[in-house]
Amino acid sequence: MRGVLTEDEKRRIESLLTSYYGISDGLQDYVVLVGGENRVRITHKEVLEFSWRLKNVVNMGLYVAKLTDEGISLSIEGAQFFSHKIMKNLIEIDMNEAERWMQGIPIRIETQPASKYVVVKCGDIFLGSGRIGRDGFIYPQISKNRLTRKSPDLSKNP
Amino acid sequence: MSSLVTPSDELLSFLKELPDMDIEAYLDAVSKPLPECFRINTLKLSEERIISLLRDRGWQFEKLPWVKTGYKLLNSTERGVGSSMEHMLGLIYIQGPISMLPAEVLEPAPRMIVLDLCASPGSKSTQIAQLMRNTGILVCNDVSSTRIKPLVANIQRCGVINSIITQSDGRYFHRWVREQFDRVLVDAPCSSLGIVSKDWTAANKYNEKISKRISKLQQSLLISAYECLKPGGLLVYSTCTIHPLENENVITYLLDKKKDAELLPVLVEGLRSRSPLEEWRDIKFSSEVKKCFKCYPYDNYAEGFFIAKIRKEA
Ligand SMILES: C[S@@+](CC[C@H](N)C(=O)[O-])C[C@H]1O[C@@H](n2cnc3c(N)ncnc32)[C@H](O)[C@@H]1O
Repeated sequence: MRGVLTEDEKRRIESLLTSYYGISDGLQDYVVLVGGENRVRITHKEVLEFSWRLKNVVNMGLYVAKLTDEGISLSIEGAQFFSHKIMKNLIEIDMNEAERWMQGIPIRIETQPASKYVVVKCGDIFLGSGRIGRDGFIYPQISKNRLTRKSPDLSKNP
Repeated sequence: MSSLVTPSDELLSFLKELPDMDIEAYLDAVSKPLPECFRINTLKLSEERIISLLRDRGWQFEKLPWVKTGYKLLNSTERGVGSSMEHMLGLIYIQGPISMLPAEVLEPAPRMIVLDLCASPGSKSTQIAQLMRNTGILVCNDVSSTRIKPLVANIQRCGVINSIITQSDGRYFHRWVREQFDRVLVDAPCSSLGIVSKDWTAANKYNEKISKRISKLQQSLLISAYECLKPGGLLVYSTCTIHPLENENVITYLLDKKKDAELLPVLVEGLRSRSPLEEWRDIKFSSEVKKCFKCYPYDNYAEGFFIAKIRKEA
């Protein structure tokens, strides 16, 4: 899948969102595009149509998810965007853990979900996706430029 | 007391030529750091919710009267605002207090089609997106390949859905989108003499030739922006400099060239400003420039700025 998705391709992304996060009708009102690094972006139809008149378009809309070999992860904005529709694989953490999460530090979970990815939140603040490791930790899928501190020692939670 | 910075000879002689300039006050103001200010990003959560989150986390701040969701930080945060979780999550956007003004003057509204011609790193684009409530169409353009990256990152961090980012020379933008936009912002490249506190090297590199050259570029950008504007639409021209060749002169050029351009008064609550110059050296500017907003760094102990609001006749 590449470029502006057809309705069929869009439905495939929607079904991934449903199976991973219980999100239904998440993309209904949006145009969906897939670009470099399999990043899924969304925007409005009128935005896409206007872009056809312009030259040297770098990108449009919001990066909400990434397709990977293991499924689909949500960006921070994707998690925030779908927040009210996420029905499963949602992990709640406290503010101290959220601080560590945003530094890129994995967090331990008690029970391992069946899914490869979960969404992490602290109250109503959504913090993007984490990948479940075999070691019982969730690894933040946050781009480097969004981490609060670039630390060489990303030690795990005790 | 902080020690005063020493301006280059060229900068000093320019400052002396400004009839309303208090050089000592200018040097005093630019010797001090800019106040730490931020905008609350209502595209992420409500203003009340973010305020309560910040207060719970020990932030103290006060409202800036001239901007809807702008605040001045009163205490220092543990880690610094720029590396705070709130910033990285896009709940807030760090921005100079006066730099928040041009987007407000532009009056963007939901469902409009808006162009930000010189957009990087996206402070004003993200503010505009917020005022448009993520509806309509926002085109964010910049010519520089190195500056596109921070623009892309900031637009993403703020959760903007209705944006198209382009990398084109703004002087020619009108060639493919004439009279298409309800609002156009030209936050022009400039000699930056109003934000010296941020980067003193820019000011000390100042020379007259650069201002003359930039002035020509600014004129072309403004004309192209005007061509992009729908009849009845609003155009805002802003710079963070105090140089008449880059401000009053550029606006006079537009008014001379475009007879259907009307300057509107920029009315601002809570900021000290000064009257733009009607003449400088041997150059006479349009008397209309009086309607523009202008301030020097020492007027508010913040950035020096110039803002013009222009309407194209319907
Ligand atoms: C004052 S900065 C804009 C700041 C931005 N509006 C913000 O609020 O974050 C001026 C910008 O103009 C861009 N620029 C310079 N020449 C240009 C041109 N010919 N066309 C478009 N952009 C240009 C520069 O790369 C720079 O990013």
